[in-house]
Amino acid sequence: MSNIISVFKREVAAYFLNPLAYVFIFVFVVLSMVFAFIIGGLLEQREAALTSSFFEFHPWIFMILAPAVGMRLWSEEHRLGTTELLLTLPINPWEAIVGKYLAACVVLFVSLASTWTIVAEVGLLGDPEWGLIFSGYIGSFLIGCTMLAITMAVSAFTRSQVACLVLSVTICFFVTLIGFWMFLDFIDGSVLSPLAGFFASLSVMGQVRSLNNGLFEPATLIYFVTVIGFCLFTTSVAIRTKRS
Amino acid sequence: MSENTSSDTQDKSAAESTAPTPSSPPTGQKSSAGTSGSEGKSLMFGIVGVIIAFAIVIGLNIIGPSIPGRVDFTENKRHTLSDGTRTILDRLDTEVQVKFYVSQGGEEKIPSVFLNRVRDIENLLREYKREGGGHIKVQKIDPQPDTEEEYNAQLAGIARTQFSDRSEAYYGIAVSCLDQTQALPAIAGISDEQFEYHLTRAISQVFNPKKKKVGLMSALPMTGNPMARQQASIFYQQLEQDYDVEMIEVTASKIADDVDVLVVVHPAGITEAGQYAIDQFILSGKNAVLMVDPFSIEAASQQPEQPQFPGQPPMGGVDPSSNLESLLNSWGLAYNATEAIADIRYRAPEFGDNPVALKLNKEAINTDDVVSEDLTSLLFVLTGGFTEKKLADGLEMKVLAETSESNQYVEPRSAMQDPDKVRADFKASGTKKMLALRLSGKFKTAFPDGPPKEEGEEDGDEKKDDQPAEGLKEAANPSAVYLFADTDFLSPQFALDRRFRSALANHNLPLALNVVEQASGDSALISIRSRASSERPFTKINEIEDAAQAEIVDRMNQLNSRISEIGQQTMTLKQGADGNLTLVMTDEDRSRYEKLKKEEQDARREIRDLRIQAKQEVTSELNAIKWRNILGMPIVIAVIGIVVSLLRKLKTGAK
Repeated sequence: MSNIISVFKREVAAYFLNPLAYVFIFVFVVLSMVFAFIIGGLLEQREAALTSSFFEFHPWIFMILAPAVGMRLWSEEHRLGTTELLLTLPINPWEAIVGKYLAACVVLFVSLASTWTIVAEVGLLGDPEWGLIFSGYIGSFLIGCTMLAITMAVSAFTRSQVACLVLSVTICFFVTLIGFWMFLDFIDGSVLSPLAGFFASLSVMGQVRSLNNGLFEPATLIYFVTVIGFCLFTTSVAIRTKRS
Repeated sequence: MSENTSSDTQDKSAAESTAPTPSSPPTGQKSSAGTSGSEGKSLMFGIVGVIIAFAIVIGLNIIGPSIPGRVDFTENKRHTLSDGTRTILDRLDTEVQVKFYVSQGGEEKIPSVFLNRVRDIENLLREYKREGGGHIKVQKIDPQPDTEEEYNAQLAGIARTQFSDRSEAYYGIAVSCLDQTQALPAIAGISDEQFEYHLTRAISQVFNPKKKKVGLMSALPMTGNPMARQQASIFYQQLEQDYDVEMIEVTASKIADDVDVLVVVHPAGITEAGQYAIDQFILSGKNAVLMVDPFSIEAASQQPEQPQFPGQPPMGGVDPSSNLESLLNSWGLAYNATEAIADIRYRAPEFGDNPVALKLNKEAINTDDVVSEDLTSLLFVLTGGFTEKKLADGLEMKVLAETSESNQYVEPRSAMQDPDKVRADFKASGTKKMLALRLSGKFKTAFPDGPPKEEGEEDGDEKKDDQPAEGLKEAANPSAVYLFADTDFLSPQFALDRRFRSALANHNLPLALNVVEQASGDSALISIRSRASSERPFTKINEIEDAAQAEIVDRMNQLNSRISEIGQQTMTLKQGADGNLTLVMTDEDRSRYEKLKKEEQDARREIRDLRIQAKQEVTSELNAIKWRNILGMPIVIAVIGIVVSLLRKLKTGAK
């Protein structure tokens, strides 16, 4: 545990002592606000709610931002050849993986927390359902963490950050798209039609829907925990294979 | 970052003991063949491990949805079974079967966009099963064509639903208990918020099939008119689902004994005998819901526009105004049957801010009463209002909805045609008017001298057989009377969503059905019905708009008045002294006419400019909100990032 904490602390410091984390947070907040106010028409909808104009855009933002945050987690280590050095240390690869992952999650958490102004604004302008906003944030954070875990698994297999970014964005895009109603509508009547239900259950969009509506079910938690766990396990397999 | 990580996690002593030393290569070389073998093994174990882990992930996600428990973050707990549903489920002592027919796997299937909804419905059904204590049995069935399942679905009253993409599939629920079956044949048209209500009602109906009898008295065609292709009113349709509804003529002099609840909607033309019948019904200890209207838009719209005889007003149709004068007077209430209420405070923006369209929010609704506690939005258009004169002895009054103090009585037709004039001439009465209320207690008769005489009946005439010589003077048991000063609030035009007619636009219908429910003695469904989506408007933005409007309203009124004056003056100039249209004007009149026309144009331009100015003020306020959100926090983050970078550079430079 102490090893996880020391890796975590060092990684968090590395993120926030460099301008990179601030660039991620800056981009996330700007995109979230532009989507909410310009594209989502938050003020024009005249409803003190953030679900349709704010939270529903987050998967699309995270599919690029999370890979950007996580692409260097292992790819950079591989490129610099420090993975081998790291793994010679008396720490379990799992501890390094969890420490690094949690540190990257902190960047996502701070990004989401930095959008507090929109919550305050909605509170000033009307009387929103605070529970719905809270569950919307939980959903967004879980989506971000899932995409980050996917990116981490991809980065464990490649030395190139660019390759990691492209591949991760593609997977995250796929994981988002297969639950998007336009895609489900599109595949209706095609050969993929029988798989629509399976796709919807695999997608982060399908899972986060109930959270955006204010409902947190065990199935949602199981989905996110198992997908994240699976990605971290795959990362450890990749790292262990490299070490051996 | 990586350098940092590596250097930081490098525990020197540990590194010394585990890192390869310069003398180690020979060992490594010696075991190169073995390493290659172990690499292959490790890779294989890794791949197998990942496959097993993936299978576990899929397995857990398959069983995940069947795991009970949920956290509902919504304010009115709309994802949790309501107390009303629990009460009804607690009453069950016989097995109730809930069959969810949904075409999913074969030739016919519902559109994929409904898949998430199917999952939500399955989750909700599990909650029912759990709360049902063994009395609820849930089954999901995929009725493919020409199968027994399809036959059973049709037998239960479930037909194929046609979807917007023109596909057809089964998507409905059948609830049965013993020989009773209730179907929800098209659940695609039921909103999420209303689903629980419909399902619980179906369960309640199959378990307790005996419906209460509602007597519906109305001068309006509540049951529709097949000849004119007019559907039954939405209120009537809703009542029919829960009650045996018996229509009663407005001219009836007696209400049948088997009627449990009396509902009166716009009793235009009701006689004293009719009011006496209502009076006696209430005195018998039964409850009544009475809705009168100073101007029923529905009745007015059905009146013939053209007179049947030249020079005479049009005849026929239903009088737009209704009253129950004798009853209301005896209960100590005042009601203006010819004028509607304009309320500046609650004017509805979607009706062009016309003050005769009242959009009531929580402030105007009594949220302490069970029938209205969950209601947040009501819409009344050209409504009347009640005020208390002196409440009759033994009665208690509870207001359910009321106006603000900024209200005034106005003439209904002209108020609809010229809202600007209503606003210009507005003088607040300073006294709230009651729009909906409940009187309860032991009622006394409004006809102490006995039954009123019918038209043409003389003092000495004998009483008819169906009319008791002496009616009840006072109720033996307490009863309740619900009063509404409007009837149009039940029409689809004001109660349903304009785009999605299956959805409620507000809580008008829930309020009316809640009071009937309470009047009939079972309030378990009330708490479920009132869960329609509640509006949460941006009140501050409305205030910004009001303020912008208030700035220009005086000048607008002046300009509108001036335009009216100009219109009259130009008409006078055109007509000449004898009142006939003049074909040729004198030069002086022409010059004056043109001057007036120019002035009118200028006034209209100024009105347009004022409107644009008000709109721009609102737009600039909204833009300020947008930009402070889009740029505010990012600027702060950018500044922090720059400061951190500079500090780090300085620190590194110093080293």
